[in-house]
This record gives sequence, structure tokens and C-alpha cells, in this order.
Amino acid sequence: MCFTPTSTTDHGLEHHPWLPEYKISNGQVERTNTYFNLDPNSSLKKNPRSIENSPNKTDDTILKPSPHADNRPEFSKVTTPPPVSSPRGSSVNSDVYEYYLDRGPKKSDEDAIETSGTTPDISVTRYRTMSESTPSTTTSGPDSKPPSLSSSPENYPSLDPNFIESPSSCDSSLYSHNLSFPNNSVTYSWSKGLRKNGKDQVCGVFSVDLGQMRSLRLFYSDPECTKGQVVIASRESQYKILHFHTGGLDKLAEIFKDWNLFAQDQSKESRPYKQFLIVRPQLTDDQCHPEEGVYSMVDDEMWKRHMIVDGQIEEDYQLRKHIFFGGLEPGLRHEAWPFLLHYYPYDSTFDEREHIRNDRYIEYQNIRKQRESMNDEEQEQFWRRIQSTVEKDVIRTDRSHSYFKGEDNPNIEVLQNILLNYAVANPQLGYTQGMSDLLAPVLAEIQNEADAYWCFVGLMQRTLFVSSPKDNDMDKQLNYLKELLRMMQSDFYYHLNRLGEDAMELLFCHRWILLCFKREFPEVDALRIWEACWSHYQTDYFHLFICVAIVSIYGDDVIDQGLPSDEILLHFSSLAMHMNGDLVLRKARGLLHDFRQIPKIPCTLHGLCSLCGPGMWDSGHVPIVECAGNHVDGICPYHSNPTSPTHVLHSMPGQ
Amino acid sequence: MTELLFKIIIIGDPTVGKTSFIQRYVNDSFRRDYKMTIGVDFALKVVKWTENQMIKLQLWDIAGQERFTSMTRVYYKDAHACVIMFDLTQRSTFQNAVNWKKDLDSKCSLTDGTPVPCLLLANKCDLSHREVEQSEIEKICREHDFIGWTEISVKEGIMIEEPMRFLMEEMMIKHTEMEGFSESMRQAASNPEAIHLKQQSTVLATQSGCGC
Repeated sequence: MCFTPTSTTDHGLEHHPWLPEYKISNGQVERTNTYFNLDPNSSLKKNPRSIENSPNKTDDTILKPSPHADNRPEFSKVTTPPPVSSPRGSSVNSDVYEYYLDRGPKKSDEDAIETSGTTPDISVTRYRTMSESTPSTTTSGPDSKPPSLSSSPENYPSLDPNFIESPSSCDSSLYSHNLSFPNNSVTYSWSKGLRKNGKDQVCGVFSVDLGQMRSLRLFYSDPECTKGQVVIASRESQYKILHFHTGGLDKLAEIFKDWNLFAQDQSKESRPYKQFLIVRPQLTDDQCHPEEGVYSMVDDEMWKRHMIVDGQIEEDYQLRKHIFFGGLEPGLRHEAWPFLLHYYPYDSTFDEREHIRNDRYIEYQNIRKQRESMNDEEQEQFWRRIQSTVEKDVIRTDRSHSYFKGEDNPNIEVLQNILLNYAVANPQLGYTQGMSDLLAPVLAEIQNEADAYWCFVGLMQRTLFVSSPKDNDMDKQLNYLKELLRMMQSDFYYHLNRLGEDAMELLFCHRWILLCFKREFPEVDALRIWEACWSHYQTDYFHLFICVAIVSIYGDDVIDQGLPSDEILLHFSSLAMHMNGDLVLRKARGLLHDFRQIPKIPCTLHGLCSLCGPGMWDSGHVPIVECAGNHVDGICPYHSNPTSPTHVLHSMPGQ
Repeated sequence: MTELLFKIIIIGDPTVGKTSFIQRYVNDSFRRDYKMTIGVDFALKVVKWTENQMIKLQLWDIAGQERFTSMTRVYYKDAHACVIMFDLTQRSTFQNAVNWKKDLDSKCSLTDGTPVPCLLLANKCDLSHREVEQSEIEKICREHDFIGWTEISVKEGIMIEEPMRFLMEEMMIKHTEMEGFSESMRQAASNPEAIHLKQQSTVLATQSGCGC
């Protein structure tokens, strides 16, 4: 098994193999207690025999059942336990089951688990152990840095300069830098020994009493249900995510299911955990769009078939529909994205596109010259307002991507130039953080500065879900989303509603919308979502259906546990990069289908499907629009808006 | 064992080191390449304050370049304390620190109407280049009612715990005051939100904040 600290998920995965160990003990207390321990494989490698020989080796780290156990888990640091030899099979008052997830022969490489593709074996050892001892040590998770400064305040000795890690530059200037912080405060110190470095913490033992946890959830990430994550949430809303990258999660689920503890009637009040949940990546057929699975991925042959001799794409609606359902082969992106991003019109010929390209190249060079010809004062202002931020952002954008990897990568400068030129040409928008995140994949696919610039312009102007500096745009999106949730995920909506107006701000999905899910899914999934959105198939707001789909698949927990708004934010951010993109996309397509079936929609949603055109039909999508009332200014946006869908009748493209 | 939950918001211009600071404080790690925060993130840290008192800190990492300003009110809401950061090597971030403070005070105050305790942190003191003098920081700190300031280096791990501990001290004092306050209110059987804390309200100018 491999554990990835949540804090590093933004930056690619760091893998730490672990030996998991699960224990159940039926003590003399009224409750059953379940322990979940993780030992780092690194410590096992040093002493591989310890696996076989000392089943009780973590006894000293386990929270023993206490007859009057506090409901709250205590967290404190537990260091890697020394193997404790405790004679097997001695006296008894509890059964302990121990499960090992074993990869067979241990390799010295820490990544052994990652590279091996086989399913791990789980061996189950049952043994009996002495357990008359009373509560000893507590649990700890590397996610929660232990309170190392835990003595009572009056015990703090005066400031100990030893903690300063670079004494040469700062030691002597301690006071001159106001580092003797602040004069009216208490002084305190910590000893170096208490500070663990990051590695130590990551490789510490993770041990929890599952009976004290709030939830244990299994998320599968593949249809076979072998890979995915185990997510344990403490009652303090601290999360531990254990990743099964190469399989084995199914085995673990079987074990859990075998345990009486989890098999118990869920409605029973006495169960020690609040929730045990297995989330399977399955959608029933009736949740999917009826045309789901009909379209394969658009490949080169298919792409060419959509073009007639002179290069025109005649039925762009069909092509967009195909991309919407099947996606684009990655190799075609540099060719297809300029159309999706409105750089080239679909009905342009090869020749016309060549013209557009030349004209736009010159235009781009002019923008560049404009930027370079700023006088000193303008330059200074531009640097302060725009460039200083851009410079710092581009060096931290997609650096693990092969196109931007490495020191002094020239593509980073290209990325920067495009953003600066964009800010010059669009002074009202300037640069807003997040733009670099949106541009980077475009540049990496298009691989040409001027072309990427114009695709980016299209992305910023024509797609509706991009970052916008204005409150109005975001408010509009959020209002649509609230209405969609109300209609399609009413349980979730009413949960938010009960929580009050703060929860209704939907904090948890701001980043989803602002960055088009780029930080919620691995790139391969995120780009498929982008393409589905850019297809503008039957709606211009497909990204909002993606939001609803995420809530639909991953939001049950929020309702079941009655999470408050800050914990909802934490819940969804803990899922970032661990959600199943394919599943979310399929669900979102199903939701769009459902939405289009609704005969009557509230006026608040009337604009959702109006701009994308009628497709192959002569008339647009015309649901009955009902005024929902409660408009802030008393004017219904539908009736006051002359471009409402009932008035739109498009001409039939092609044929 | 009792447990208290405090919400601390960390604000300041882009790239001054807010995310790094939180990661350093919570995980004791430092990276150069934290992605810019979009919207809001948050981190948790549990601190054992005394033998029978746990403090759970919610650290709200708020995007430096907030694009839709109506949201900041939501981010600030119910904050018990605030950290405003700036970059010693970039003067404009220091000048903006005052704007951040004003923005905070205009949108938010404690339930008793007093300003949210706010700390000023001057990051990147490990770098030799600097554009802000200490006397200036001192001056701003006094003029704008920060409860304290210090220079820190997230990169080198200098002065990370101390300011946070100081802030916790402040919050604990406030908390105790409020507890005593609401206790006396309960006895008086009146609405605690309607009345200002005795000592505080007379000394400090009443904030016109949203009372969040």
C-alpha cells in the first residue's frame, strides 16, 4: 500500500509504501474496538522478519479500549515503534485479527509497490494476545502535526535561539529584526528534539481506533473496483487518505465486509463508527445519457472524415457532439483546439486558415511591440501591477508537465510572454491569477506562441466558464449552479439551505469553476472535461453540470454526516485529484439529458441552454419557463430578456 | 479535555508567502513551487495548549488576488484572528498591508464589536535585498492597530511558531473574556449579541463592521 500525504497532492504524488495492519479486539468493554495501524515499510525493510515474528510489535502504540473511553480521539506523536517481542499465544481476553497487505518479496526500492502491477496479497493472521493493559498511548496521523509545544505556558523558558536553522544570517540579528516577538508576549521555546522533520512525520506510525473515527470510506477509481482510496476522517475532520494505486482495495473491502463490526445493521445506534461507506464507481444505465457509449474517441480518421475537400468542417454540430461524448485523441488536440477555441471558424477552408494564421501572427507581433515600447514609467507601473505576479506564477505552473519541466526551460518564458501580451492587449482584464493555469495546457498542446495566444484569447472570451475579474460573472454562475442543485440534487441543496447563507455561497466549488476543474482532476481527465465543455453541446454551461455531478457522486457524505460549510470545503478539497473523472463526465452527461427532459424550467435557468444553438434541429430547445419569483429587483430576468429561447429559431446548418 | 476551535485568516498580496507559511506551520515543510491559491484553501492544526485544553486551528489561506470581492466577506466571516503578510523585498506589498487591514476591519469584527486581532508578518527576512525599514513597519503597526509584528522567514523556518502562539494567547484571552461575558449575560437572561463588552467597548472605537 502506498500512502500519499494530502499536502503533496498538488505537486505530483510522493509515494510512501506502508504496511497496514488492522486489529479488532473484543474486549470486556461494551464496545468493539477496531484498530488501524500503519507501519512504514522502511522500518520493516530494516527488519523484514519483524513482520512474521512480532505480531504484537505495535502494541505499545495502540489505543486500548477504555471502559469509559472518551469519545474523542487524542492525537499525539508516536514515533516508529521498536519491535516488541511479545510471546504469541499467551493469555487472552480478546481476539485480535491482524491483516497484512503483503507484496511478496520486498524490494529495496521504496517505489517497488508503484512499479509492480500485480495485486497485493493480503495475508490474515489470527492470534491471541494479552490485553489486560489499560489505555496507553494514543493515535497519531502524520497529517496532523502533533502538538510539540505542549507544556503549559508558564513553563516556557526564555527564547532559545537554538531553533533558528540558519544561525549565520539571522542569529545575531535576532533582536534587530524584531524577532524577539512581540514585547508584550510570552516567551517560549522548543527543543530541537521535539521538532520532527517532514520525513520523520511521514514515516511515523499511523494508528487509529476506527471505532473513534467519524468515517471510513472506500473510493474506487477504476471500474474493476481494485484501485482507489481509503479515506478515514477523524471526529476532528482530519483526513487520512491511503492510496491503492495498483490494486488490492477490493481485498481490503472484503476484509472489512467480513468484519462483524462493519456488517452490523447500519441503523443500529450502538455502532462505534458513524459511517462506513464504500463508494463504487458505478452509474446505473438510467443515470447515463441514452447516447452514452455510442461514440468512440475522435481519432485522426474520424477527424478527416468531418472535413470536406477544401478543409471546411460542414457539420460542426456533429463533430462537437462526437467530441462531447467520445473525447479527442490527444494527438489531435493541436489541430482541433483552435476550432473549439474559436481561433478558426469551423467553415473556414485550408487557405482561409492560413490567412487567419498569418494575419494573427502579425497582429500578435504588434501587441508584443506595443509592450516592448512602453516608456520607463509605464514599464515600472506594468511591472508592479502585472509582471511581478506573472513572473512568480509562471515558474509555479505545471512544472511537472514535460513541456515545462526543468530549470531554465524556454517554454516558461513563452508562457510568460503570452500572459504579458494578453494583459497589454486587454488592459481591462489584465492578469488574474489562474490564467497561467488555463494557458499552460493550451500552450503545451499548440506549441506555438502566436497560435497559443489566439487560442487563449478565444478561451478567455468565448467560453463562459473562465475566470473573470467581475463579481457579476461569478455570481451568475453560482446562481445557476444553486438552481441546478435545487432541481437535481435537492437533498444536498436543502442541506446547504439549512446551514444558512454562508453555505449557499458554495465556497467548495469556486475553484472548480475558476480553474475549470484543473486542480480537481489529473490532467488527462481535466482536459477531457475541458473538451466536453468547449463542445458547447446542448448547453453553454456544461461545467455546471460537472459540478452537480461531483456533488451527486461525492456529496452523500456531506448530507449523511451533516457537515457544516467549512467541513464541506474540507471534504471536497480532500477529494481533489482523487475523483474519478470519467465517472463524473458520464454522470454530468446524464444530468444534462435529464435537464433537457424537464418540460418546465424556472426562469432563473432560462439562459442555460440558449446560446449553444439548436443543433441539427430547426428550432431551439423550448421548455416552458416559469417565473420562480423572488427576484431581487422585482423583474424576472426571463421576461425582461428578449433573447430568451422561445424567440430563437436557428437555421439548419448544412444539409 | 476541552477543545476550542479558532478560525484564523491569512491575507496579503500575491506571492508574499501565505501558503508557504501555513504549510511550514502545519507540516513544517517548505517548497518553492506552491501553486497560487485560487479562491480559498484551508488547513487544520491541533495544538495541545495545556494539559486539558486542546486548540484546533483552522487556517484559511485566502487568495492574494481576490477576483470577486463580494466573496472576501464570506472568507473573513467568523474569524477569530488574522495574519496579514507582506514581502520585505517588495515595497508595494507592504503598502498594501494597510489596505488589507482596512478591508478586514470594514467587513468583519468580533462578536463583541471589537476589531479582529491582527498580526503583521514581514516575510523573507532571509534575503539580503529589502525595501522596507523596520521603523516604517513599527509605525504602521501602531497607527493601524495591529497587535504586533515580526520579521519571519518561512524558507528558513524562522519565527513561525512564535507569532502563532502569540495569536493563540490573544484568542484565549478574548475567549475567556467572552465566556465570562456570556456567562454574566446568561445570568442577566438577555441577548448577549446586543450588548458590548464592558472594558473593550469603552476603550476602542466601535466598529461599524458587519458583526460577523
